Amino acid sequence: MLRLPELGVAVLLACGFASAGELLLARRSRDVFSWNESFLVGMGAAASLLFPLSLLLPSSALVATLFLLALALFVGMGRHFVSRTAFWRLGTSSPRRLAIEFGATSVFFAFLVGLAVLAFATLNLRYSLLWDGFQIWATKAGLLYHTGALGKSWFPEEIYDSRILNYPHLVPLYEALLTLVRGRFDFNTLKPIFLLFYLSMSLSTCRAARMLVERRAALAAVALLVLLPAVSAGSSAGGYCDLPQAMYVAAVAAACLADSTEERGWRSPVPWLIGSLLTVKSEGIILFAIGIFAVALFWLSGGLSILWTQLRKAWRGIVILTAFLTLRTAYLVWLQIKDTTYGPLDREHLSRAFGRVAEVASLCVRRLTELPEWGFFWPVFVVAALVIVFLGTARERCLVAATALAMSVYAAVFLFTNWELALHVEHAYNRLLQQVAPLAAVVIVAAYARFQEHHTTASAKLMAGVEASGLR
Amino acid sequence: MTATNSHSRSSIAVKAIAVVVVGGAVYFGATSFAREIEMAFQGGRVSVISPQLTDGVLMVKRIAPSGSTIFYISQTPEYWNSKLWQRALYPDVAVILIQTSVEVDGPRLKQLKEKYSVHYALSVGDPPLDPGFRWHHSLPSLPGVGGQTWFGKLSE
Repeated sequence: MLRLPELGVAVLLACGFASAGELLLARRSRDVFSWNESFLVGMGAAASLLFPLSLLLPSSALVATLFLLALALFVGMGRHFVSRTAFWRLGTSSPRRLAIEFGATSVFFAFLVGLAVLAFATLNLRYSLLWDGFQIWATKAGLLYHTGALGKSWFPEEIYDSRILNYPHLVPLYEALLTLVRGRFDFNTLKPIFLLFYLSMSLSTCRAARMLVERRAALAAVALLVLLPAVSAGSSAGGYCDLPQAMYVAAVAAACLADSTEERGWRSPVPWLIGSLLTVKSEGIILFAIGIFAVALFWLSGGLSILWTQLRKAWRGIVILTAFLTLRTAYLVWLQIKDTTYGPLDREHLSRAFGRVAEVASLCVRRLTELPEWGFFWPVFVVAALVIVFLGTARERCLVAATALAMSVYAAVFLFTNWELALHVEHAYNRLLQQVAPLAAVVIVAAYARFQEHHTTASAKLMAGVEASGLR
Repeated sequence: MTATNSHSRSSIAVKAIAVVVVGGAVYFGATSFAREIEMAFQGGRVSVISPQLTDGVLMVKRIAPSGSTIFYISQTPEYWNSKLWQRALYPDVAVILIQTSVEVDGPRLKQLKEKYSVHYALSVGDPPLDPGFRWHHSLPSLPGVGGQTWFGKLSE
């Protein structure tokens, strides 16, 4: 089942989101990477605005969102028509010339990525929705479609599951919009959007890596990522939202590493993308905080005065971040639904958490070294992180810090679970790791590049020294 | 010269490790994809809403009025098939899940029946529990579900 009509609608909606993103960032996409960034900005903004729209239009917020997207698409197409910019342009070279420019290694990695994309597309379009994909995300999409807006009602007498209303709604929004265009809700037609998320994640990872290493190493980072069974098979192909969360994590890294001097203030995609981390999954709040921390850490690496100067310059970004956080918090306050999966933070639970530290660490390390899911990925990341600490640049060290912090905080969350501990770690930690896997892939290739550079430089100095001393 | 050789050896060693890492990624990725694609094309769940569920939903909707609420009663606690029915019948018919025989026999069922004006119920099991049917029909059971599926009207 290729689901071509649904894939077409998903692409059309993506164009609408991208156009909205371009309007927000006041720019025209110059290539597929910037188009991808605009797509993510537009989608995150739309997801965030769904709540206030639902308050204003209690039964037609979804239709209003579609109307606004259509308007943005119309305006965007008009702008591209007038300016004649080709946003899909990757280059004007012929395929043969591209292959020669790329080199054999790049072609090899690009081939691996292509195979992985094909495998994911096959699984994604063949598999039905798996557990969370059906019971949480597609169900929220169904409710949104039928009620026309975000609401406070779950299914009758479902007290525990009503916590699902707390979960953010970027993916349900996309699925509901696709359904609105189709005209009829069908659980079996929602998967095509995940193919777009997968491609977006790959593009962002490539761009992030390209900021630090040469082209073939950037392609190697993408290949290492998409060849991971945990990223490209299983729950990713079953409609879970860890893939779209990873998509945003990769995009944040790419935008931060790009650090364009042309795009500042309101036009910087960084705060929009960090804010959008709140719109995919509940644990996005952790990634949101870590994203801000990583940026601040990088500024701090230049000294306190640099941090202070940058904070003052970034007031527009802080406003955008505050807006995202306010909307998310307001939604949760409006719902007034308590999630009893974790906590509460009282003496008894804190004492239990303290007693669980060794067990949680052991369970999580076991997940990291699970060969069928991760191969050698995480042990290699640990080594790469150490290399970056000694040989990397400030940006790369911040990337390592962000990745390690996310992995640690995600593990620490299990200290407070009210579910059966081993079962919860087994079911959830791999999916949480998937969200930061793009960062780890970039760290791995960056570490390789730095190590090789260090040895090349050291050898050159040694040879120069030998020649100068006349010992050769 | 010894130091230079040492640097070369280190560089070669790192390249060799990189080859092993990439090779490992290709191996684990390829075997996982092959296994999952085989599963997906040989009896893997292709459609979350099976034809049997579609038929069952049509039969329920023919009898239960639009906007009404029904019970779904599981003989043993179960959280997949019950929710398939719940989602498939939404929004025309709301479904309250009754997961244990204790609830069927206890006062809660009567309270819910009055609160939501419930007149119909689905019951799944081997054999299905009887919440007080006045009459019931057998529906097609969902794939992988043992026992029978009854749908019927409850006694007043």
